[in-house]
Amino acid sequence: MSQVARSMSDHEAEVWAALDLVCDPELDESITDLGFVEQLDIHGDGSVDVLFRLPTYWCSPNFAYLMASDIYLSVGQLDWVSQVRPTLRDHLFEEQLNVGVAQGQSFRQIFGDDADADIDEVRGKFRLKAFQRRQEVVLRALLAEGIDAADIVAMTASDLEYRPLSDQDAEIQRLRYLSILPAIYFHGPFPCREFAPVGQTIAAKAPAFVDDEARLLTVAGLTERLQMLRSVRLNMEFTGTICRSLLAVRDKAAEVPGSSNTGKLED
Amino acid sequence: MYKAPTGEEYFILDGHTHFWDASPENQRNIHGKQFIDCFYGYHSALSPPEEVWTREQFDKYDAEKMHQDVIVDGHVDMAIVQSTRLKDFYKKGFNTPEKNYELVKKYPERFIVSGAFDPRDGEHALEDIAYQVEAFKCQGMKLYTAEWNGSSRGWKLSDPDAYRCFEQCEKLGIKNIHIHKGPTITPLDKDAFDVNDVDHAATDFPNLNFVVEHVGLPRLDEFCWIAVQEQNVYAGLAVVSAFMHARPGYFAEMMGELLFWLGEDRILFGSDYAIWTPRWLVEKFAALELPDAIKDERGVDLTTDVKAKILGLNAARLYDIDVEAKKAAIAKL
Repeated sequence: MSQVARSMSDHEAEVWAALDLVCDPELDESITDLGFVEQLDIHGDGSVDVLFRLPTYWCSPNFAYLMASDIYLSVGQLDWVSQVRPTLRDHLFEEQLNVGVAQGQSFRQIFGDDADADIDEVRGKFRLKAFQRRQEVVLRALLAEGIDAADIVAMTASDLEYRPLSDQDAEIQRLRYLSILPAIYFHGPFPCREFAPVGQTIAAKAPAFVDDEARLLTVAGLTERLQMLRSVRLNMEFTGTICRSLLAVRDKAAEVPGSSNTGKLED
Repeated sequence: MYKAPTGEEYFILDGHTHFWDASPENQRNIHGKQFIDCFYGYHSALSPPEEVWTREQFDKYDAEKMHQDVIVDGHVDMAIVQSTRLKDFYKKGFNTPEKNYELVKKYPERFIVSGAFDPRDGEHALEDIAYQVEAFKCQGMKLYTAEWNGSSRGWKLSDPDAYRCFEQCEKLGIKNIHIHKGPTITPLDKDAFDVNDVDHAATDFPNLNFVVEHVGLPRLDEFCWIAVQEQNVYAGLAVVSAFMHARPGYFAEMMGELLFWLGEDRILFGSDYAIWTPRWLVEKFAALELPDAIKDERGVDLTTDVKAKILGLNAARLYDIDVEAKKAAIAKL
C-alpha cells in the first residue's frame, strides 16, 4: 500500500515537473507559477487528467490552444503515461479545445476557417518575445553590477554560462536566457517549448548577446536595444498584472457562495 | 476643478467613461454575463480596496449615481461617455448612444456622447452616423474592432467600408475617433486589437484625431512607433491609469515612455468609469512624481503644466471646448 502511494506521489511530482515547463506564451511564465493548473488526476491505467483555467472566459483561444497542446506534449513525454487529457474550463471555446487537443488535432483542424494565423507562427512570435524579455533582465542586471557595455557585448555564451548574477530573479532569467538563445541562432519555426530543444546547441564562443536576427550587439546599439526591450517588458508586465489580478479575483469569487462567479460553469 | 492639497488647480476632462446596463435582465446570453464578469474582475483587481463596489452596484447604475461619482465626487468637470452597443450580448445593448444621451439631457454642461458605428453594416452605418450626430449631438465615435457581427469576428480601420464611414464623419463634423486597442481577447487568433490599421487610417484621414484607448497595450512598441509617425494619433490612458494604485512604478515608467514618444500634447486622461471611479485616479495623478531615473533616462518630466494638459486641456482642445468659458458656465450651475 505504502509502495503504491509512494509511486503515485513520484508520478505526481513528475507530472508537476512536466507542467512547470509549460509556459503561458504571452507572459513567458510557467502555468504552474501562474496558478492556472487547478487539478491533477493520475489514474491506474497511466492516464492523466490536467484541469486548467485561464484568467478570463475571453482569453485568446490560440494561447489556450498552445498551453493545452503543450500540456499534452510535455506530460506525454513521461514514459509511464498512457494518455493525457488537458481540460480547460470556464472558457468560451472550452468544448472545441478540449475535444480537439485530446484527439491531437491542430489549431486549424479545431477552428477551421475561423483560424487565420499559422499557430507555429504564433509560437515563433512569442518565442522571440520571451527571448527579448529574458535578455533585458540579464543585460540590465549586468549593467547594474557595473559591467561595461563593451565587456557585455564581448561576452560569449560560455562566459555567460559561468557568470552568475547576484539578483535572484535575474539569475533565474540568466538560465532561462541561455536555454532560449540557441533557438534564436538556429532561427526558423522553433517550438515554443522548453522541453524540446533537441540537438540545438550553439558554440561556446558564440556571442551571448545578439539581436532578434542573431546579429552581434554593438556598444553603440546597446542603448537602442534596451529601449526596444523595455517596451516588450512593459507589454508583458501589463498583461501579466492583468492576468494575475483577474485570476485572483476569479478564484476569490469562486469561493463565495452565491456570487456571480461560482465556478460552476463546467459541465 | 480639482484643487490639489499643494494648491494647483486642474480642469478635468475625463475622456473615457461608460453608462452601462449589464444587469442579468439585460443579458442576452452567457457572453453578456462573462463580459461584465471580466469588467468586474478588472474593477476589483486594480481598484484600491475601499473603492470596490458590490456586484449589484456594478451591474447597473443610474444617471444620478454616475453624476455623483464622476462629477460631484470625482473632481471631473466634463466627461466623454463612450458607446458600445454589443447587442449580440445584451438585449437592449450595453451602453448605447441612446442611453448615454440621458446624461446629456440631464447634465448638458457635463457630458458629451461619443457614438458608435460598425462599418460592416454598409449603407446603414452611414445613416447611423448621421442619425447619432443629429439625435445625440455626438462629437466623437468609439470603435470596437473586435465586436462580433453575424459570422464576422472583427474588422479593421483600414477596411474600405471603414473608410466610407470616416468620410461620413468628416462630412458631418465628427473629429474624434476613439478606438479600443487593448488586451487581446477573442475572436480566435485574429488579432482584432492589432494597432497597425490605425497607421493607415491616420495617414489617410489627417483631419481626424485617432485616440488609441488603452494605448494599444500590450503592443506599446507598435503603438509608439505609429504615434511618432502620425501626429493625429493620441494616447488614451484608460486602464493604464488604474495601474497607479496596484503598480505605481509601472505607471511611472509608462508615463516616461509616452512622454518620450508622443510628448505632453497627445496624452489624454481617462478613468474608464465605472470600471474605476475617477476621484482616486485624479488625486493620485495630480500627486504623482516621476522617479529621477526615468526623468534622467528619458529626459521628460511630469510637471504641473504637463499634468494639466493630460488631465483636461488636451482633450478640451480636441473637443473645441473653451476652458475658461466652460469654467464660468459650470460656476453658474
